[in-house]
Amino acid sequence: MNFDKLALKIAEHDKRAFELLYEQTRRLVFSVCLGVVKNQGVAEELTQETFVTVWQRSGEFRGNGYKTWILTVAKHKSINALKKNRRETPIDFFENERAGGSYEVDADTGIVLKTALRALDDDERQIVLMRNAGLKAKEIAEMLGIPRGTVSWKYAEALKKLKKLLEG
Amino acid sequence: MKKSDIERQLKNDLHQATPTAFDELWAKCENVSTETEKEYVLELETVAAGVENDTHRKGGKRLFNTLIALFLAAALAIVGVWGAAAGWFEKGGSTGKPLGSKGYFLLDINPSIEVDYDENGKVSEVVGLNADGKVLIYGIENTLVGETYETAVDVLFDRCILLGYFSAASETNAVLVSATKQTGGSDETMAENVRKLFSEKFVNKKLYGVALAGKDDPNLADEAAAYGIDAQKYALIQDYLAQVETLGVESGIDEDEYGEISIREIYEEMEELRELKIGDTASDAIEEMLEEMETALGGRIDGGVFEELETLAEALERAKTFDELSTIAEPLLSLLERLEADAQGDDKEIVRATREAVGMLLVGVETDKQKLQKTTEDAYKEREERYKDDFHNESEEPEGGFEAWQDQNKEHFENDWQGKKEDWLNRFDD
Repeated sequence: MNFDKLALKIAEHDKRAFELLYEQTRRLVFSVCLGVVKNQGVAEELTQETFVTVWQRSGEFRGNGYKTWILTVAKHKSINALKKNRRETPIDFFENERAGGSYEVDADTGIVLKTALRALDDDERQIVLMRNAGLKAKEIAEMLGIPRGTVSWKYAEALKKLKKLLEG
Repeated sequence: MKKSDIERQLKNDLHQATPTAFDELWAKCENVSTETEKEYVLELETVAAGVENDTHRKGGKRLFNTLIALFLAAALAIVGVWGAAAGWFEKGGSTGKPLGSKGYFLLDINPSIEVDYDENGKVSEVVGLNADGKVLIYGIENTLVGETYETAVDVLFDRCILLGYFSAASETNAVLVSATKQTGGSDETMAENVRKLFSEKFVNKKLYGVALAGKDDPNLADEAAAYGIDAQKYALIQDYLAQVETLGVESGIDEDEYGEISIREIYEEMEELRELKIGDTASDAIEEMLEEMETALGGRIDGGVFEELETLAEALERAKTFDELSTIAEPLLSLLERLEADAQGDDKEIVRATREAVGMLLVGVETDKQKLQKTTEDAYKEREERYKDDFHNESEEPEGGFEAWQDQNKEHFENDWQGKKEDWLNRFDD
């Protein structure tokens, strides 16, 4: 899939190309959003917002790295949502949820995913989600601004943690 | 529960959770204007630039190389000399050597190049083994024939700088070198000579860099060719895969990346995993020692100290790199020193033994760190000397001294090879 070529078609408002892009990247975008906000419902909204922005703004995209650009939009929106939520959340909520961030994990999320969202630290959680959504270690390293070896290492550490928790 | 079970379940959970309805999204898209919202443009561009800058500094170089590669590929096809070079892999590697060839050495940087030499150490053929390799030797493949192998290394090294394959901005420039006799078996003397030449060049050019010993294993040639790479690069990838397996981590290099990944990237990842493993083992061992000490002391010492130790132990749990460990080492040792001073009788001995064991372990970590960094240490010193020379040539000493001056000029030093690259490009256009 050549995403950069797809970008040109979407810039010309080609609905079919946009649908194809959505099919190919929705899980990646959702995993980026979920990795940041940890709440399935909020991540769904942010995924949709990301694609709306992509539809609006693809005309401005230049060069290569369209997929990275889309994921960056998703990450940016998620961080902003988290900040906004923190500003609007009463202080005592943080006292209870300090370790887990400011959104709660949905009760109906699958057990492994729920454990990952609740127990892993920020980097580990994002790495685990992005890796299992199909992103390469190199791409994750670029997204998070950390070396590729650290991605491999943290991924293994995160899986060990999950194994321990799920078995315990 | 196996690791693969967790991954499968996680993928399934993610699949279930991911939104699917395109129609709902489309309804929203149809209702929004595709006009640019001024306020948001700035915000988005800032973010995109911030995240992609680092990538695209490298990506820009890659784009440049790709463009040159495409142009040269077209040029080569037109003049009809493509076949000889392009058929290398299809012919099963380095076959059909020129008469009088004593052997060949392989250089992998990504570019990958093969240099054949005769009994007098003179170059008899130079072949680009991949697209980047063809770019690197374009226009000089014939002129290098008859020159000494030292000259060939010299010229190829400079071209690597001009095209950005070696860069002052990188701390892990790397080349993989092996040499094979025409009659089979490795030519260790030649391999060592070439590696030494590269090491010297890194120092002379004030670049961080390392010349690694490769293994040109003929048994790997077919598998390597299937990925479009040579046997020694494939052997290095196999070493990397063995390392990740031993460490129990997943490979960060996918098969479809074998052709494009540089030796520098593989080397960086191997070094980083080695560092993380050392750091992880050390922090686990220290944590264990502290726990044993606490148990042995059985609450006979002021609890406040243990709270401080607890905090340091938590920091240790997170510390994996040498720098992170170094930050914790000093407060930890000084806390143990205080504890030892306050302890009485056997307790003093318990704390002393722990402090010494922790100290020795941290010294061991420091030694490992030095070993890992030794390869680039000389180059670093040389480069720093050059900076200092330039600093002393300034008419007035800048405020803040050398360190501040170096920071101010860092970008200039890191980018000075760009100018050389542009010179080369202009010559190429001519």
